[in-house]
Amino acid sequence: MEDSCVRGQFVLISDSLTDGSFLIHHFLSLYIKGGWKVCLLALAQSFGHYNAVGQKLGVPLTQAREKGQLRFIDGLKCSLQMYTCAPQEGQGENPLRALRDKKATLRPLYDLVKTQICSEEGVLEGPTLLLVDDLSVLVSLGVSAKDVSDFMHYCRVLMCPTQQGYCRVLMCPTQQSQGAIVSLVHKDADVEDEENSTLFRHMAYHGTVHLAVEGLSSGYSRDVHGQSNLY
Amino acid sequence: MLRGALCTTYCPEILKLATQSGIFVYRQPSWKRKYSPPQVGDSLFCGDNMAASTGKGGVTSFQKKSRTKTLQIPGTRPSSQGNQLLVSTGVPSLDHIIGGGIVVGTVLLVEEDSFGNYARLLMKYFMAEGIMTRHPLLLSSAELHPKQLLRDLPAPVSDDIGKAALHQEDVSSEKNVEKEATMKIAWRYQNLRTEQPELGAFSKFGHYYDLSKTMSSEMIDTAPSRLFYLPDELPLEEQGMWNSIRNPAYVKLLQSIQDVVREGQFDLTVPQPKDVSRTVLRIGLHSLGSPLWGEQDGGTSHDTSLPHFLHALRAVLRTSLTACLITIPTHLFQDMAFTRRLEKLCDSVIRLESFAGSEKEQNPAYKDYHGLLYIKQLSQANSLLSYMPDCNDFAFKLRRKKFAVEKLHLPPELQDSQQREQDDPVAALKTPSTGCFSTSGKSKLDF
Repeated sequence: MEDSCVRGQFVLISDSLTDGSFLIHHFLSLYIKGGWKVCLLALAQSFGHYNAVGQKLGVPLTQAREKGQLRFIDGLKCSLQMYTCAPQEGQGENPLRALRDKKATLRPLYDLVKTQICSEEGVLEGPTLLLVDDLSVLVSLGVSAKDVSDFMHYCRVLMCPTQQGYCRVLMCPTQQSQGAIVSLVHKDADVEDEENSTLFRHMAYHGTVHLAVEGLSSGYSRDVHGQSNLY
Repeated sequence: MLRGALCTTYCPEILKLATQSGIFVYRQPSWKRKYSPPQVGDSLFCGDNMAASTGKGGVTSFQKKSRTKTLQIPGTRPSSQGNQLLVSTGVPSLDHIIGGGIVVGTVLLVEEDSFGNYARLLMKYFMAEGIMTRHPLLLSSAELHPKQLLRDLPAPVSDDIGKAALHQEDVSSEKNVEKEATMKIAWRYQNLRTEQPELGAFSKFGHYYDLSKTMSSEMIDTAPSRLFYLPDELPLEEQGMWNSIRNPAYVKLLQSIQDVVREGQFDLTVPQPKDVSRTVLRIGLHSLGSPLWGEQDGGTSHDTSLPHFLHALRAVLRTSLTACLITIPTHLFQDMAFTRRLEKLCDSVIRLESFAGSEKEQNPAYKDYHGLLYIKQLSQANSLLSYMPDCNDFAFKLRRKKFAVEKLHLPPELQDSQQREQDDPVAALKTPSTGCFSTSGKSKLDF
C-alpha cells in the first residue's frame, strides 16, 4: 500500500465479515501527519473513539480540531437530535433531515460538508481529504442507496473534479484536483443485503481504488486477522 | 563478566560489585523504563495501580505504570487493552471470553435462544451483579413486568467464596513465612502463592449466584432502579401500527433513558464536582424487537425504527457512564440482512443456541452442555482492534451455582460410539481433514 498522500483519489474500503475501520484510522493519521486538511464525517463512532485511537497512533486529534486542521461532523449527535425531537418542532438545521422526512435527500449534509471545507467562494483551499465513516450506517437508517450515491457523487465532484476525465469538457485542463475521498462500505458475503450491495456497486464504479478487507479464507486465526486486497 | 561482554542485570549486589571493579555500568534512564522489574520483597500481584483486580489468574512479574488516571469506581476494572472501564456481566466465564467484561459506554447484544430462557437468565445475572456492586439499574420489558424479573434474582454465593479465599490466603502466607528461611536459591518466588486460583473466582469484579435461592428483598428494594414496562408507559392505542417513520415505543424508551442519564449525573459531558462519587448505570433492555414492541413483519420491510433507536442509543451511551445489555429475539426475524444491520449498530454481539427441543440434545458430544454460544462481534470502541479470543467454539452449561461458558472440546473417543460411521456423531463433527482416521475405525484387524 502506498504511503504517500495522493490527490484526486476516491478510495473505497469495503469489509466482509470483519471490520475495516482500522483503515479509517490509518488514513486519518496519515493525512493529518501529511498536513492535509481533513473533514471527518463520523456516522458510526463518537469523537472520543477517534481521539483515543489517534493518541495511540501518535496523532493528537483534539489539537488538530482546535487548530482547524480537522473538521469533525458528529453524525451520532445529529441522529439523536433527529430521533428525539417532536415533529412539530421541525428539523431546523439538522443535516440528517432525510432520516425523518422521506422526501428529503442528503443535500443538507452535502451543504454542511461544503461549508466546512471550502472557502467563501466555494473552492477548495489547499489539499483536503473527506473521510466518511461509514456509508452503510446511512442505509441502515433508512436512506435509499440512490440518495447516498447522489450525495457521494456531489462530494466527488467537489473534491476530485478531474477524475477519470469525467468533467474535462467543462473544466479547464490545467486545474489540478486538490482533494481526495476515503469512504467505508460494509459488504458481508454471507448475507444478501440488496440496498448495501447496490450502494457498493455504485461506489465501486465511482472509486479509483478499492481496498477489500476480509477474513482469512481458511478460517479464524487469532494472530493473523485477515487479508486485504487492492483493486 | 568477560571483557567486551554485554549483560543486563537487575541485582543490586552485582551492580555494586561491577561499579567497584571499574566495569562500565549503564543504567537506563527512568523515563525509558516503562516496566519496573521486580525487586526483592515486592509483592508480585498487580498492586495499587489496578483497581480491585486481585484474581486475574495470570500473575505477571511486571507492574505497569499507568500514566492516565482512570476513574476508580467500585465494581469496575480497567481493561487490559487500554484505559477503558469494564463492568461485569454477572457471569465470570462470560466476562473472560468477551475480553474482561462489558466496556462502559457500549452495548452487549445477546441474540436470544428459541425459548428465551437463557437470555432471560443472563439479564437476571446482569441485574444481580448491579445490585451487588451498587450500580443503579434501568430495566425495561414489554411482556414480563420488570418488577417480576427483579423479584426473581438469584442470591449471591460470593460471600462464602470470599471468606474461603481470605482464609486460604492467610494459610498460604503463613506457609510462605515458614518457607522464607528455606528458599535460598529460588528466593524470587517466595512471595508467590502456592496454588493458582480459578479464573475470576475470588475477585470482587464478578460474583457467583445460586439459582435455587432468590436475592433478599431488602437488597433489591434498597437498590436504586428505574423500571420501564411498555404497557404502563405507552397506552395500547398508540402502539401497533404507526404512521410516522418511528415506532413510538422505542422513542419513549430512549427518552426515559436520556432522562435517567441526565438526572443521575451519569453524563460525562457535564462537569461534576470532585467530591461527588460517580457510578455506572446498568441498562437492561429485555426482549427488544419482539412483536410486542411493534415489529410486525419480522424485519422483511427493513423498517428503520429499531436501527435508528440503536444508533441514537449509541450516541447517548458514548458520552455517559453506562453499560447496556440488550436481548433481541433475532430468530424471529426472517431477513438475515436486518439482523446483520442491528449487529453492526451494537458493539459486542453474542448468540445463544440452546439444545432444548432440538436434535442436538441427543448428540453425545454435547451431553454435558445445555447450549452453544457464538461470539459474533466484539467491541471496538476506543481501540484499533477488538479483543481476539483464542477460539470461537463455546458451549455453556447451567448448574445451580454457576453458569459456565467453556471451550467446546471434541472428545477423542466416546464410550458408546456407533458401529457404523454414518451414525457416529463425533466423526460427523470432525473436519474433513481428519477423515482419514475415521475410515480405519472399527475393523478387527486394526490394533
